[in-house]
Amino acid sequence: MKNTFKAFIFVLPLVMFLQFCKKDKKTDPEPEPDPKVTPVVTSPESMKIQFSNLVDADPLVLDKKYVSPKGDTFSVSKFNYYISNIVLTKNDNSVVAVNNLYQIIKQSDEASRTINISGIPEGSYKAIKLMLGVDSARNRSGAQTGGLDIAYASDMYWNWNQGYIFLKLEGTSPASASNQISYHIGGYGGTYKAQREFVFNFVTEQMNIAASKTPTLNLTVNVNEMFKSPTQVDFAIKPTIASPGQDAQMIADNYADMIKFGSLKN
Amino acid sequence: MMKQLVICFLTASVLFSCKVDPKINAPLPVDNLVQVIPENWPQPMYKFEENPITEERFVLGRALFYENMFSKDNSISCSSCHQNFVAFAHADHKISHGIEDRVGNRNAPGIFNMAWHTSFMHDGGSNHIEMQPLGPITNTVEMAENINSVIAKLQATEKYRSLFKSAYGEEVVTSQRILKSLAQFMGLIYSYNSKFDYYKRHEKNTELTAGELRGYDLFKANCGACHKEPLFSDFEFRNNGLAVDPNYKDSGRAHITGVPSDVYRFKTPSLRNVALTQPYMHDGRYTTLEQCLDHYTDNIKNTINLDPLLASGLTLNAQNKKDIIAFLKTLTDLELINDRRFADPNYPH
Repeated sequence: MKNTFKAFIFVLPLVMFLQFCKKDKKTDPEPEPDPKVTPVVTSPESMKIQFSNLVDADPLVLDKKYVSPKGDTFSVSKFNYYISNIVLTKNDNSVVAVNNLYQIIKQSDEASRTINISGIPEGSYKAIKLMLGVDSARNRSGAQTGGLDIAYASDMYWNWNQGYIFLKLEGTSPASASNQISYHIGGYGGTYKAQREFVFNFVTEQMNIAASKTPTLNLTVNVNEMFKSPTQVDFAIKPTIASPGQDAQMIADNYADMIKFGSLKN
Repeated sequence: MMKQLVICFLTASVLFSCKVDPKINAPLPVDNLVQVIPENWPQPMYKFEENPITEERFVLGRALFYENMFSKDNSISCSSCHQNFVAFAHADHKISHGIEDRVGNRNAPGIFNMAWHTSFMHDGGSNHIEMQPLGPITNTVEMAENINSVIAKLQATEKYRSLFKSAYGEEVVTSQRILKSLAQFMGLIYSYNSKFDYYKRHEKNTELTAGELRGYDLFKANCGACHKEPLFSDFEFRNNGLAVDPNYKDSGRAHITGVPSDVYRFKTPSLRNVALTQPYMHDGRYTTLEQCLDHYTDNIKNTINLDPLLASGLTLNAQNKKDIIAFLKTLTDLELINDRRFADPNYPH
């Protein structure tokens, strides 16, 4: 008993001191929830949009030879573009905006060429609108997640001239002095802008969203529209565009009619 | 009894380890982490609204600022070219060197009051304080790295798994967490405690000397239109008449906008801490404040887009220049460079 008491005398100041020494730990801050926006939104699926990349009438195949509107042979090694700001219009003219969906469609990645959209209210829809590119606001809102996470978009972002690259086509053509062609198109603000919007009205058959169905909209994207009109592109003269500006806007004006209605399966 | 002695001994050693000189073992301070908006200053651009300040995130941001893993060969960090003791500019380097001694064409500016900046880099190529670090990280003459590789390197270390867990509740390293933490560290570096600030706020019985006061009047008349108080910059892009360096042929703002009327324009730098941040100008061509003032009186070149305010240069005599420099030296903020919250956590003593 005496020994226990002695031990207590020895230990008591130690315990007190350790308490004193203990770092004044503030309560842990509530970790900020990161808004999780996955590039591909999965179930419950409401609808799908499939992108079929073409060169005129032929399906785009990487590294295969095609002919440009000017008549030059060329091939494509990379073809990526951002799709965002999807808005659906119901028969009663009310609109449903699909927020936070930013997806890079990549020719090299088949899964990326389908956008799965969930959470759309049931009903009949008569039109869909989408943007090729990223809206100005999200280009200047700082570090993002999901489809705009800079890790996901690492080759679709200009770090030196900050903003997302909306469309990227790289390949080869003997018409180019270096044999390389490279078009990195973007520009969200200032004088030159490269976002383009596309509207598709469902004329013959409307799109019906219901719990039991997943309607699929197929859109075609013709690479040659980038080089056709209003300004025909000569690979010998303009083999490379790598920044926002007049040239990027010229290509954007060309691709303003690049995405076309293919089919709708209800 | 022996047992108690052992306990006593152990107690003493534990007590001793608790009592080491705080200067040697203490972690760097993280006190007072709040956004400061000094009296009579404009509202900042960046208000941390979507990046709430916490001690843990600031500590992570500080560790990242001093982290070599941002560079491809793990040789340099943000702090290699932004040094605490010179208000986070790069002392004595006209142009900083990146990995493998690669050199670019721009001088590293100081880092302070960044929350007020409307754009970043000399050409305004960065549009947000959170995205700015991506410039130097990916530039092939600076860190030459990519963000996915940085994420993988950080994720592989116990140190960062633990720091991310403390800051965000889980060990997962993401680009957004990296960038927001860096923005907390950089965004909280303020400079508003120079002699000039004390004078303006009537604090610590601070008076300016007769020469400094003459310099202040001359500054307001000659320099203040662009180097606007209280931040001592208007954050606009201007051509200040520097001869075009044929080695660099740097078009400045036009490099970003593609607009001819932006050729040779560069962002007006803040003149706070200017006595610390030599060399000067976007390419570091001048090493002294005297040379800078001589430029404005004698060496203005009439290149395209020359700022109209400098069309005929400034008229200042030798005494005027001395007075202006005396004034500029009152903009040095010793509290900033001695603030241990911003010091290198790898060498905390």
